[in-house]
Amino acid sequence: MAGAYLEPSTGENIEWKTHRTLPGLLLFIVIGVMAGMFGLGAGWANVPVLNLLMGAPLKLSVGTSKFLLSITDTSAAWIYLNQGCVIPLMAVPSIVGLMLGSFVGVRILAVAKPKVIRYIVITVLLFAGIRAFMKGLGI
Amino acid sequence: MTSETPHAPPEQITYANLLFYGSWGAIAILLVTFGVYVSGVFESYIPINEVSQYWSMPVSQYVHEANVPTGWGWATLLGKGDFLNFIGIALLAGMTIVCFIVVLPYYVKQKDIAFMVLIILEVLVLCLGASGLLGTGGH
Repeated sequence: MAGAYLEPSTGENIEWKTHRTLPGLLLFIVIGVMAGMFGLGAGWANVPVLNLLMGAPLKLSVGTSKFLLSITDTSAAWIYLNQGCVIPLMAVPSIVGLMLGSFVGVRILAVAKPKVIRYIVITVLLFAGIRAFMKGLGI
Repeated sequence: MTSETPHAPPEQITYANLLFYGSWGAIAILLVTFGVYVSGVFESYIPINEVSQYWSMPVSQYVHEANVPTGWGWATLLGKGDFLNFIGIALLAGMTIVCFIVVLPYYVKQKDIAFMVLIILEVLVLCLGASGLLGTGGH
């Protein structure tokens, strides 16, 4: 796949093209299996695969990851809803908070410099990795 | 880099706009129904002061002890203050399906077989998730 997008922070049109689709697909399967087995969530791993392996620009990778989570989480939401395991007193404030936070985050992503986003992604992934590691060890 | 300003295709704009307004609509509904729930205007299926005793329970135990309906049983309890919140949650969870169905004609018109197949598969998977036939989920 290929395309172009306008980078608001620099005013440049960035052309992009993805590579290594098959290894990317295989890694997404591994991520999905890990997410299903350990309940770690898959969002932390999507961005590195899209950016580092497939060569998509970082902002595009973040946006794509967010988009695909909106689809996969939607299917999970229906399942949780139909399993009777949604407690509105906890779920509604979480949903509203996360949605409002997402709207703010997306606005910031659109105008922020890619370099800043890179450092934020590295920091967030670092903490997510430590958290996943601790969860895996039962700490 | 290219000198032409890139534009998103109309189907992507339609998808984004539908998801944007649908999400805001669902958030507005959630805020109203949550206000109704916590104010006690409608009687709750699980009294609000008893909710905390279920927080730490495994799902199966919670469903059994609170006698929470599974599958689409929640739809029969929308008159209860807590289950009223499921309207907004279901709307949010259903927006992706609606968005995919609305953009499908764009790809049919363009005779884009790959995207048509992807969208139909996505809708089928999401409908399967919404049907209540699947037992587990996660992202």
